Amino acid sequence: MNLASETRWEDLWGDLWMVMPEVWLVVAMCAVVLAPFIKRRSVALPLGVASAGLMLAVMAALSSFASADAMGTVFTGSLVIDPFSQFFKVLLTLFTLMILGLWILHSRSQTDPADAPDFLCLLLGAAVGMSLMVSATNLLVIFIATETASMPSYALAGFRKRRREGSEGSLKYVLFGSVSSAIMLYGMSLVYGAAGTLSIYGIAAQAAAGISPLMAIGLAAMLAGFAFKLSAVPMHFWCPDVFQGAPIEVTTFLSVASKGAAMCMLLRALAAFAAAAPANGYLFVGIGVAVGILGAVTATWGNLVALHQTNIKRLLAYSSISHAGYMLMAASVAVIAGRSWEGGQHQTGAIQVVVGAVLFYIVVYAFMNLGAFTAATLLAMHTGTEDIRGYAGLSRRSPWLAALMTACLLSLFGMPGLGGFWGKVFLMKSMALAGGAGFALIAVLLFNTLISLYYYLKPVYYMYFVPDEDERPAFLPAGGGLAMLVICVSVLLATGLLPNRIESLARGYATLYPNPVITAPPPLETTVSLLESAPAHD
Amino acid sequence: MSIEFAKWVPWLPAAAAVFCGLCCTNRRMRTLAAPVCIVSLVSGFLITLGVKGQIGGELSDAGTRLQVFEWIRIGGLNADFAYYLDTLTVLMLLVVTGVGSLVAIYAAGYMAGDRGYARFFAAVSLFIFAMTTLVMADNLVLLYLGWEGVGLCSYLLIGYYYQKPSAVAAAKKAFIVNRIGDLGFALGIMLIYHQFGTVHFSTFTADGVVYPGLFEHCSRLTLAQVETPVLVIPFLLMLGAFGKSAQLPLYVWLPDAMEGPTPVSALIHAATMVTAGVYMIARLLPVFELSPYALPTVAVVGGATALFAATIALRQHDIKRVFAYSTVSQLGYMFLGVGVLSTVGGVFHLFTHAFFKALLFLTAGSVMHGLAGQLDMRKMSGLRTKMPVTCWLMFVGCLALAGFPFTAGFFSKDMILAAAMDRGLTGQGTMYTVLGIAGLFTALLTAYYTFRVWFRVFMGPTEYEMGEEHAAVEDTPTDGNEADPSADTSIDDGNIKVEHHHDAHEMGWLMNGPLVVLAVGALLAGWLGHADSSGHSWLLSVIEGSSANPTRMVEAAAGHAEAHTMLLGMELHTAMMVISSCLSVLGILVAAYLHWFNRPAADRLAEQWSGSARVLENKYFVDEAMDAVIVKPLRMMGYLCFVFDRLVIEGLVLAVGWVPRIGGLAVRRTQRGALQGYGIGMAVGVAVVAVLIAMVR
Repeated sequence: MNLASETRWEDLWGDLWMVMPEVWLVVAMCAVVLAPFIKRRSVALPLGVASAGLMLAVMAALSSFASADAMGTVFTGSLVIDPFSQFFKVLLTLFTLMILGLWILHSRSQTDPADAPDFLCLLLGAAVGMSLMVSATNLLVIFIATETASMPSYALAGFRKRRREGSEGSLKYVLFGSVSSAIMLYGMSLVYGAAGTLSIYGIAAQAAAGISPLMAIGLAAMLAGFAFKLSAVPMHFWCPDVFQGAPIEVTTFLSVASKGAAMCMLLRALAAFAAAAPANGYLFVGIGVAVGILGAVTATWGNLVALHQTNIKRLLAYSSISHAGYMLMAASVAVIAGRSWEGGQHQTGAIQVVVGAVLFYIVVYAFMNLGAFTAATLLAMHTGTEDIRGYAGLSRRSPWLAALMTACLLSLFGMPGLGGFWGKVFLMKSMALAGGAGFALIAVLLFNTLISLYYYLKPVYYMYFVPDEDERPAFLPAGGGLAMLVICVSVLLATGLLPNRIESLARGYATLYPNPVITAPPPLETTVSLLESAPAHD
Repeated sequence: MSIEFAKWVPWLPAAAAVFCGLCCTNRRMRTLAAPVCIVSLVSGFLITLGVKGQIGGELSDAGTRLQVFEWIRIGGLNADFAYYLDTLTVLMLLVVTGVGSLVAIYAAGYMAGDRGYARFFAAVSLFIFAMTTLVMADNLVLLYLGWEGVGLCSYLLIGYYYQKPSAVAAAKKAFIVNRIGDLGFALGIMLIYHQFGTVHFSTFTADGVVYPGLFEHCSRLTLAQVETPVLVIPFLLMLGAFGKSAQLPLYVWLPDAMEGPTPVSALIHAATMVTAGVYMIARLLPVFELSPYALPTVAVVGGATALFAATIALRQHDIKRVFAYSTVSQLGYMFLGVGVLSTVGGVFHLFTHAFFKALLFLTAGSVMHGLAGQLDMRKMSGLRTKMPVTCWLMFVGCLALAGFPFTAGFFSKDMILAAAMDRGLTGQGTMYTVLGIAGLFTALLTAYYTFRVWFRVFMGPTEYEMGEEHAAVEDTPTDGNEADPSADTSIDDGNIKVEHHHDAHEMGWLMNGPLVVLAVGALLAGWLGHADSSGHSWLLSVIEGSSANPTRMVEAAAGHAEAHTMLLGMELHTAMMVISSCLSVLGILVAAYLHWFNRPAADRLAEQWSGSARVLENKYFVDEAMDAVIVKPLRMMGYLCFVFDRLVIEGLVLAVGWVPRIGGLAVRRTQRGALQGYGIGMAVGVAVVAVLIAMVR
């Protein structure tokens, strides 16, 4: 169908109501930039506007759960609004709010008030891109959303203009980002050439009939783009430099929101492929194996390199690489599980289990990473160094901070009783769906968990067992920072002690929009319009 | 009161524990810890009383499941945070919250002025949370949580005076010995899950699916269907019970546990936690009944422990140690009772024992408090003039422990021994007759050693030596928050007055009040279990309404039994009552002669029998033997492992550590500015993925 002929103004107007979270974010973005015209050099005003926009976005995302009408496809099938996407948007906007808190805590005093609107605008812009990423089902929209998320991120990473490290990281980020964008765009063009459609559902239906070499190369190149956002090996080189150079709140934002959005986008694509596969098909094993191996290599690589880091931000950067690997490993099962579940009733159940597990993991990961980074921020402000050797004797000087940070680190490792443990358990549970290959993944995950203990305990070791030689005085961190830490640890305890509650919740939200029925694969013609898109859902 | 309220019984103390924990951080709030703890326990007790009123009404015989929240559901494992309420649960809750409240009130006075005041009450509240969770649990995982929770609190409280090396050692010993038993328990739970596919007791329906519980699984099995793994289960569970309840051979930790504050000894190491093993066997009786050898084993171990511990108690000089060994011995009785299928007797004894043993420990605590930590009964005498109330309260406790006619201990002990003799005399095994006679002999020893303490401490000429230990503990500077020298004064400023008496003195009514309640219980609680003419009693109805009712084996045994077993021309129960009364009085008289009227005679006797006296004083050298047989070889092995670890494992670890370091170096080399290298890496990655997608099918 053709956009020009069939789209009516009323439809567009109705569609706009369904993407209200994004609309509010864009409105807030514009308002933030305009704020200095109302009151110059004010930080409070743009901050208030940004927070208000984010809260409205949260409410808009929440309100879409209220009625079934609020779910479905919009803009002629290029975006999908389903419980999965809305759940992530709620998480994303709440998380961005907490990032604002971290920013106030850490950077506000060091930022020129005139720069504050710029920062907030960039942050909101990245959030818009990320929330579009989880809804995107069309290659063009996927590309645009990814770039919308990336461009502000590049600027955010180098926001401290006078810091050499920040500028270096930012430049590297831009270089890698442009290379991987180019690769992804190239892959998309190949895929479009092979499938004749831009909709991932259409592509999946085409691929179900057999993957041509052209399609394979195209998909691999696309996966590279996803891997860049996830900082999966071998597209991870930017990650440690950017994380170390960027202000800590930006690092936190990138490590969770950016990766979470990319993960959700990948899950949606994989689920579309899995659902398109014939019941007894062996078709997408290649994709599953590729993603699985990507995840396994990423996790192992991240952990091994993290072993010898002494800078807390770098350490957490590598740790975040390995966590992305864990999630990738589980995501690969969404495709492989179809194979081991013989008989017709394969994927839907498996996909929901996998998506639920990854969603749960993203929730837990968001809070444990936020907690660890918040603690690191407070410590960096206190000790003036990001070196973990500066943590010596912290348990004496600031027992609460030490305990809370330890809880976050132990959760990242996967200590029973904290959310991170159940996150890994549910990931493994979903991996087990894939049979033999799944058990190999589980073995990799367990091995990685084991080695990760070493570097997660390193800061703990300094905090509790190394006496402070300088005998610095006791210090009570800022109340706001402690409050954020307490929130994070409470979430970790809640997910750790009541895992079933939260997991069934996450699984309930893991409902993906079903593949639209595609009656006949569109013919491969050279005359197809570039704008041709997925069949609208009715 | 709706039984739904029972859900709050564990959570009130849990909240109190958190509050008391917070009190530790603030000096001014410290004095609030005791009232909060007491209020939470008393409310728990009142709720339990309300629930007890629902027995027969809302609380049916089949037991009620109260779901608190979904906890762990993985695969077939269904372990929710749910409570199982039946009459046995209610009885246990009454004991735990009732005795707990009384002990907490006593402790408010006893612990006054101690540096760790709030810490103490935090641990006690936490203990009550764990213990109530244990007795209310609807599944074995939750029960195990409570089981380990009480173990943890026991560890924390034994090592309460952590400046004292002996207290730390005792805490460690209790912890380690309990681990051995708990390993068995854990294996037993796993085996139950493996065999039955379920760990929860009650059958319940959720979302239209019926989940049959453990009891239903057991009742469906006929003995012929039982397979070997199921036969093993009770023996594994038993190991856990023997560890927690200090039975042979795992009893060694309990006497040392007396290093903790005396209220803890009364609450945890006499009245409640140590009876958890008895409770567990009673609760899981349907599982134990599946194995024909399980309960007889329990009976033999219980009987042997009762006698063994009683003999050690004969020659101990520390008052609390005498009572500790007597606890081990009395717990042996309880196991004997459960083992001879008289769950009623076992649980009845548990119930009465809670009263009189708590009373005895608390009065011993009063003596210790009055004499500044003195516990050696050779260094005190004739205290009746100095501490008259304590003297007569302890007298009541001693009567009950000695099984003096018509006190609480008399009825419950008699029920157990009569059940054992009954089985023996109806031809179900000579073993039972032997156990019964051993039990009677133990009763004689018990009467003797109990009154030995009382006559030594309170009768005779008034002489005593004040102790120093307690004062020394208080004056020892400690580190951490509690080292603050102003801590004591701030408490002085508060409500609690720290009075340092320098002579033996009587306790105030804050401490004696709870003791009076316990004393009344020690005198009268026995009538609750005393069968009326029709053979019914309140306690019997409690057991019959619960899972602890032995049905299978009693039916099997019914074939043997004759209508009325006769002994000495009397009905068996009457005969046992007469015999044990005589033995009890005899024991008291002997003690009175040797330790009141003619103390030199006792010393002469000890000299004549110096060999056996030494063996008993040294507790049969069990600790030394264990040290030589278990601890030393383990240490040796530990050393070998250490050497192996140093030479081999550490080398390997370092080697493993070097792999990523070398890898990191390689990566770092490419990472130094060579952006082209990254590009190549990315391109290679894409190529590999493309090949995988295209080739793997």
